[in-house]
Amino acid sequence: MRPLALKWRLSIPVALATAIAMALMCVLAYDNFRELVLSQADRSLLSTGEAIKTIMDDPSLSRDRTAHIRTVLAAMEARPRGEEQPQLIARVWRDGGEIEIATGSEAGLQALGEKIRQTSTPSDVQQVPFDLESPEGGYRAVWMRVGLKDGLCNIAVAQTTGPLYEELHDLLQDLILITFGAVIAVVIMSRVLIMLGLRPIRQTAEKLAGITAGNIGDVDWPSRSVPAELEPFVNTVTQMLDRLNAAMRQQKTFIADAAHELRTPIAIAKSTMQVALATDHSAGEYRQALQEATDDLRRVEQLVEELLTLARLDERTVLMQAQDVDLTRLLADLAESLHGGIENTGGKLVCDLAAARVWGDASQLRRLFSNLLDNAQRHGPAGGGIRLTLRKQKAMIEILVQDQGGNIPPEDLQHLFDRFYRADTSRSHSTGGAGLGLAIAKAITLRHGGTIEIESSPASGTCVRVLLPSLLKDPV
Amino acid sequence: MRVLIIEDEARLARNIASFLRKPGGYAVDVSSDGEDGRHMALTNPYDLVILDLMLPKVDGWTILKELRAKGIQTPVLVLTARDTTEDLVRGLNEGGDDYLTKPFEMAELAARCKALIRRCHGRADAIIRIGPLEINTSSHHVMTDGQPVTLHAMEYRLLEYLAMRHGQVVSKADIMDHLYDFESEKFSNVVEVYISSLRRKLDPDDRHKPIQTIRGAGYRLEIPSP
Repeated sequence: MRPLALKWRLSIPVALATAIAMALMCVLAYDNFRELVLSQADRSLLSTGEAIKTIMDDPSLSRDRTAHIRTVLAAMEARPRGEEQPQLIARVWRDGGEIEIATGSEAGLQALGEKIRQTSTPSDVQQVPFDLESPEGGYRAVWMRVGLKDGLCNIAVAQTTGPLYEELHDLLQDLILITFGAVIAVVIMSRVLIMLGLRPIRQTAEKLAGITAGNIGDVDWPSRSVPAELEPFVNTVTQMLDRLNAAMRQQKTFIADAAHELRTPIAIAKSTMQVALATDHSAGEYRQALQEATDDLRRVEQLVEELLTLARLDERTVLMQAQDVDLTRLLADLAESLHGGIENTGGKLVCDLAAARVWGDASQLRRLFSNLLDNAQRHGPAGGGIRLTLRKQKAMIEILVQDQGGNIPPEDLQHLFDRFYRADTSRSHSTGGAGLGLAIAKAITLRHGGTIEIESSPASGTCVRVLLPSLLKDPV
Repeated sequence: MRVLIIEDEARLARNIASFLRKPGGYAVDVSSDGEDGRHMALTNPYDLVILDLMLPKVDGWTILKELRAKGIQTPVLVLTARDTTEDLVRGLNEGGDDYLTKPFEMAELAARCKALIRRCHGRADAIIRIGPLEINTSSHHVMTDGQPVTLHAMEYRLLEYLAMRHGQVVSKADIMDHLYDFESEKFSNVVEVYISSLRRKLDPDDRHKPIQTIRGAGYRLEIPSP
C-alpha cells in the first residue's frame, strides 16, 4: 500500500494534538468559569441572607418585613436589559417554629422546604451553598443560621440557576467553535508549510530530472541554496552523482582504450594488405606481408581472448572449475616452461617454493602467475634476475614475484591493476601489451579470495605479492 | 608535395608511407614519437602532416596546438583510434583539418591527403587547367592540347608542385624541399634535368613555353598571354 501523503502525515497528528490541547483548555476554562459564576452567585446569596438578617433584626421594620425582603430580592434579581433574570426565593423560620416569612416561587419554596426537612443536622449545611432541584428548574441555595436579638433564626435564600448555566452554555459554545477553528487553521497551515517545506525537494527533483549522461559532470549544487535539513540529502545525491560520473568516465576510458587496442592492430594488418594489393610485389614480399598481418591478427586474437577472460571473471555466476591444486607444482612447472626464454635473454629465474595447496581453478592460477612472470620478464632490466618465492603464512600462502626493474612512480603504481592501464600514455605496442595482464591477475586473485599488491623501489626492484587462502582442510 | 607522418606504430607508418610514395605520389618522412615529430614539423616545409594523437613523449594534441601557435598553416590530418564525437570535435578545434579513425582504407586516406593539399593551395577541383595544360591530380594523367603526356614519376611530382603554385616563382631550394624526403638522395642539378625534360614533353613544339626560368630566383609555371 502507498504510504500516507506527507501532508496528511503532518497535518493529522498536528490537528489531533491541537484538538486535544484545545479540548483540555476548554474543560479547564469551562470548569474555572463555572466555579467563578457559582461562587459569585453564592456570594450574592450570602449577602442577600445578610441583608435579610439585618431586616429581621431591625425592630423598626417588624411590621413590614416581608415587603422589605421582597425589595431586597428584587434588587438582587435586577440584571442589565437583555439578560435573563434569576428568580430569588427566601424563607425565614425559627427552629421548630412556624415559617415566618416565605417569598418567591411556590415550586422553589417547596423544594427548599423538602431539603430542609431532610437535613437532620442543620449545622452541616450552614453557610455551605447547595443545589436544589425543582420541577421549575435548578436552584442554588444557602442556609444560614443567624443569631438575632430574639434568638436563633434560619434564613434560606435560593436563586434559579437557569441564567447561570445559560451563560456557561454560551461560553462552552464559543469554546467549541474556537477549537474547531483552531484545528482547521492548523490543518491548513500545516499543509501550506509542508508545501513550502517540500519546495526545495521539488526543485531538487526538477534539477535531477534534467541530468543526463551528457551533463552529469556539470551539475552544480550551490550549497547555500538548500535548507539545512535538506543538505544531507543533497550531499548524498551529489556524492552519488560523482560516483556515477566517475564510473561513467571509467567506462568511457575503458571503451576508448579497448577501441584503441583493438583497432590499432586491425589498422596495421589492413594497411599491410592494402599496400601489398596496391601494386605488384615479389613472392617474398607477399609472404612477408601475410606474415605481418598474421602477427597483427594474433595480437587482436590475444586481446579478444583477454577481454573475454575478464568478462567471464566479472560474471560472478560463472563457477570456477575449483579443485585442490598443488600450487608448488604448478609454479615449478610454470618456471620450467619459462626458464628457456628467460635464459635466452641472459636473465635468470630463481625459485624458492615451499609446499602449499590451494582450492581453486588450476588454469586460472596458472594464468595469474604466468602473467606476473611475463610482466617481470618484460619490465625488468634485460638480463636481470627474477625471483619467484612461495611462503606459507598462518592461513595464507604468500607468493612473491620480484624483478630488478625498480622505480615505478607511485602515481602509476596505484593504477597498475586498472584495466588497460599503461604508464606509457601513447599505448605504443612496442613498449608492452594492452595493459590487461595485471587486471586479469587481480580478477583471478580476487576470485580465489586473495589479495594482490605491488611495491617498487629503485633499491629492491619491483615486487608483486599475492596472498591466497591456504587449503588447510577439505573444502565443503 | 612532401608529407610528414607522425605515428608510433612503426609498421602502420611504414605502410602509409609506402602507399603515399607510390609513383607520382608524395615525398614522405616518418617520425615515430611526438618529440621528434614536432621538431620535424616545425623545421621542414611540409605540405601535409598525418598525425596520430596518442604518441610517446609529446601527444598529438600538443603538437597540433604548438604548430598552430607558431603560425604553421600546414594542413593536418588526424589519424587515431579514438572515435568519440568529443575527440573528433577536439581534434578539429585544436587546428586539425580532417579526421580519420583507425582502421581506415588506404585509398580513402590517400584521397583525403590529396583533397587537403589541394584545398591548401586554394583549389577545389582535382583537375588543374592552365592554358593548354590539364593535370589530373587524382589519376596523375597529364594532357597538353588534348594530347596525353607520359611523365616519369619525379617529373609528375615536379609538375604538380609547380602547377599548385601556378604563377608564383618557385626557388630551386623550395623544389628540393618539397620533392624529396630525408630518405631520397638529393642532387640539385636533378631539378634542372627534370625541368628540361618537362619542357620538352609538355611543349614539344616550343609554342607555349609553360615553364619559365627566372634568373637567380627559380622557376615559374605560367602560360604567357599571346
